[in-house]
Amino acid sequence: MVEIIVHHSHPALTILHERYSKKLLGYFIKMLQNDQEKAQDFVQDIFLKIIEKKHLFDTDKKFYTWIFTIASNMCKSEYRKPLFQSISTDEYELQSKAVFSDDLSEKERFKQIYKASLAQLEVHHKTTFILRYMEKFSLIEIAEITETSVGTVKSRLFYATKKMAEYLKEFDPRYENNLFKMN
Amino acid sequence: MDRELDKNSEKLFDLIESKNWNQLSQEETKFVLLHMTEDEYHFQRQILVEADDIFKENPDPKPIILPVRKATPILAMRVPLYQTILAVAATVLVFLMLWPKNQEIKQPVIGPIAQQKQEIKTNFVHDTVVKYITLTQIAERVVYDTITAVVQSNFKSEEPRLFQANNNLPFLDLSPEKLEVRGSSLKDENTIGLLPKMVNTIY
Repeated sequence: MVEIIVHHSHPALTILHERYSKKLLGYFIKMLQNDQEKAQDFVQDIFLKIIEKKHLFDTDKKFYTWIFTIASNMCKSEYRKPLFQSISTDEYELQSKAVFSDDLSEKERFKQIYKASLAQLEVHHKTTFILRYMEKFSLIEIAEITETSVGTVKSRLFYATKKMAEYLKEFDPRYENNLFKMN
Repeated sequence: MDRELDKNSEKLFDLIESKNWNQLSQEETKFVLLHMTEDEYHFQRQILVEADDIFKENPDPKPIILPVRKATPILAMRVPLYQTILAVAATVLVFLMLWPKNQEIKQPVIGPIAQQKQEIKTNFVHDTVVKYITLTQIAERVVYDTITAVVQSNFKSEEPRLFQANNNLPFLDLSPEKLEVRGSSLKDENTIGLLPKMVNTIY
């Protein structure tokens, strides 16, 4: 993998793209409020960044972790832009009501509300939550990606879950008993 | 309460992520109940489990479009900082090595003039041309003095020379009659044959 990066060959980058682009696209979609076009652009950009910043790659670390560090930093930068706005509480309530007015199945409604709740989280909580429960990274890897300690990662995950529970429960506590896998 | 929650958030996270409510020990149950109800515990745990199913269908990524690499102009090339520093250091080193040492700038000496003079080195130049110039001086005044010289001489007066004589010497008679031939001619010599021929041609 290191050889691939250092020699900057196009076939090698194509291999990297095949291997990681789908996971990265999924991550960007979750992080960027389900904006699929922007997520596609971000995937394109991240491979250009890999070419530009190949000298920054630490060969002692995993490439998979490194590429997600770049991805997380790209999202963080995007959140700082004034044009980018995370979903407001009013918008969230509107979306949630729209979900209930449609003829969607209960499970589908729950998914929509879940996504809206996730979009409301602060960026550092959202990053940690998505990396852990959707991208299946270990706590140590998340600490490396977000450049924090494992303790901080645990704390962020606890508060992110708590917030999610507040959003979802406040909207409709029925889901507690009817939808979840564990019941 | 919030500070207490902050302190215990890591432990609460470990329990919610790893154990169902009925798997908690009595001590753990007591600990959890200090911060949340049993329903809240259930609900948070269910949120974590459901997260996996929320984004199931992801679209396929677009194929990668790599930029065409253009030849970078020299002025636009990126050079690492350490290379720049090394280049500058090498240039300075070469400059110092090649710069003539005798052209060092001397600091002006500040001190008494007497001391400065002592430090001046004298160079002897041996090819000095000495030119003698005759200077004519005009005497400002002439002093005339009378010198009396007394000369005593013991020389006798000279004998009268021949031409100063009183014509009392007899004149020689040079008439041809008086001048008879007393020698013999060379051509009459018997030894003429011994002389080289060249002499003979004269005659």
